[in-house]
Amino acid sequence: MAIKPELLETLRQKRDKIINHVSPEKLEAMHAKGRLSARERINVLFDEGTFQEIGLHATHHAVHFGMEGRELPADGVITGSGYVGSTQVAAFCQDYSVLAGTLGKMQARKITRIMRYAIKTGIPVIAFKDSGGARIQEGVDALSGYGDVFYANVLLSGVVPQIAIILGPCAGGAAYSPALMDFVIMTRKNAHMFLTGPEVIKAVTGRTTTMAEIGGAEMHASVSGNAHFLAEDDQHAIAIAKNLLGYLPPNNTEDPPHNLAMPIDNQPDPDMDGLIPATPSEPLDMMAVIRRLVDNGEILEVHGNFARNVIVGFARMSGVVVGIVANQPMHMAGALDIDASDKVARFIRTCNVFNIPLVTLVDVPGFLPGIEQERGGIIRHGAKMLHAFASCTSPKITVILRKSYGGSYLAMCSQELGADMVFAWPTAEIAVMGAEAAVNILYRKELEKAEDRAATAKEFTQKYRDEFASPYEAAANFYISDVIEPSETRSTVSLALRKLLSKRELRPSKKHGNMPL
Amino acid sequence: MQRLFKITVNGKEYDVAVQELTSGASLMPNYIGTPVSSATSQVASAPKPAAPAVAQAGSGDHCAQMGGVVAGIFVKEGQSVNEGEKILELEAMKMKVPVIATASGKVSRILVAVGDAVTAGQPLLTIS
Repeated sequence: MAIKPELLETLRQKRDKIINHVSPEKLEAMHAKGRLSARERINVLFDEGTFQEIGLHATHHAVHFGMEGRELPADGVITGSGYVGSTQVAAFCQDYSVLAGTLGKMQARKITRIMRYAIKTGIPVIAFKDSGGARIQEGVDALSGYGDVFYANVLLSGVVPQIAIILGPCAGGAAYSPALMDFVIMTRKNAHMFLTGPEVIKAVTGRTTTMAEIGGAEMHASVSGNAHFLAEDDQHAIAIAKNLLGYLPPNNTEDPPHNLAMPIDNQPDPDMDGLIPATPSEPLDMMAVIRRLVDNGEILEVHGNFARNVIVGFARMSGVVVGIVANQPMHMAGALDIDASDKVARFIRTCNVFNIPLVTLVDVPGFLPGIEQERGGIIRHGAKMLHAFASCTSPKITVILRKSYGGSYLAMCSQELGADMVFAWPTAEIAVMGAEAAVNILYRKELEKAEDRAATAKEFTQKYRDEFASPYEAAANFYISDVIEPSETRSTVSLALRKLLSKRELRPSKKHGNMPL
Repeated sequence: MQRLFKITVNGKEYDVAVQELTSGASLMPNYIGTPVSSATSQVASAPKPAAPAVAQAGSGDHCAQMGGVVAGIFVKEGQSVNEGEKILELEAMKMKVPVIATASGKVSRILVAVGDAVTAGQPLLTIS
């Protein structure tokens, strides 16, 4: 007795109809725009033959507005899990060719189901977003569906990595799901993300605008900071996600994928000396320094186009995965402002939840003075950095390269904020404020009496700089672990990192700290 | 009915109050700006320039990343520059802040001089 052939035939027909529902002409039109079909996206992400789909036959139950009996393949979303290299990854992929990928109750149930699978098995989630928004025909069921997805996003947050890839529209309430995830990747030409579109903005405010201005990938990657990565097309976006997975653990109970078989680099790097400008006012190119510090000069920069006065990103140092946080003096003198504070604080917390050690590179003239900054709340934004660094229990190593003044010294993870090791170059200037400003306060009376005020001020300034704006005052007071030669930086940090991997730090138990937002 | 407008003339910003004199309009409006003697002279309240005027940045404009003083200009009008070239330098927070050409082209105009104080976002020069 064998199974009746027609039963198999029915199954095969059903599968074929759902999986191959996009006509070759439509597929060609998609490809011409740099877009892949939902199935192709899944195939590009996962190693061949490892994807297992759930809910292929699931469908909607809507009956109003002409929905009754309407066939929507997989209800507009592909859900399942597979392998990316040795890592199991869960994914859901909205299918724009099915009623514009709109979300109803069944689509939401499929999405939350695969997210629950991800948290049970402790694996990352990748979300492909390409949807016209709520399926209006389903009314409040669609709205409820979004709520279910948001709740699941929050439940998973801090447990498994969540990466959103925006490949088309992601508008209205739908935009909050990627915003609740750890990383957002957007494709340059096809992705849009906004709460209210140009038409609504025009109707309500009278102002004319464009999709690119309020929701384009370039805008979100450089102005709003809503996107962490800008991809050229679908293939590139998936490549970025895979690259990112290479630095992240599958969940918060595991270590990131360190390569501990790699020997610790103990060789000096004399070329580092050549990167340091002769005078303190000449900006140092921090990216050049980072490339000399990390393995193969490779860093996966996060928020690369946003708040460029700071650099954050993932790299390895002698095999150990690290999160790099650094000032970039080539842009805005490397000063800290509102956007930079948000960017850094967010990155620190991402590293902390996934047990990624932090290496902080400091060359900061201070917080940016300005009316907009103060009125914009730089105090509460800057406080996010302090809160994030102080509450981070991952290994923290700080290297002070040059300037490190006042509040920004503390905000860049000084010893007081919990750095496990603080190294300083001989060029480091660690002081409560810049020499000129300090002299004006400390020697006010002497300067008032002086015959040649400028010359006297200059003299005092030089004296102050020699005595206090060096690493040795801070070293003498044991606020830094050691003063090192720039050429020793890679070897010193590599060794210290390896030793700190066993760090365990217990904090008082609480629901959560109250981070200023 | 009085309405307030912000207009920009030659890069200078003016706050203008306009009194609408259609039927039913009160001749004794609620003054929002400086009170003037009669409704008819209310067309424009004394225009006063707002904060240092900052022209809108157009394509090819290279703007100040942050407030500071122009410390050096390394190109002349009409000169060809390459992408990545340092074309100007600001001084801010006792640091030199380079302005780098974002595209290759010709310097069509330079809007500032060495020693000028500039605000964040202010166009400094244009490359076309």
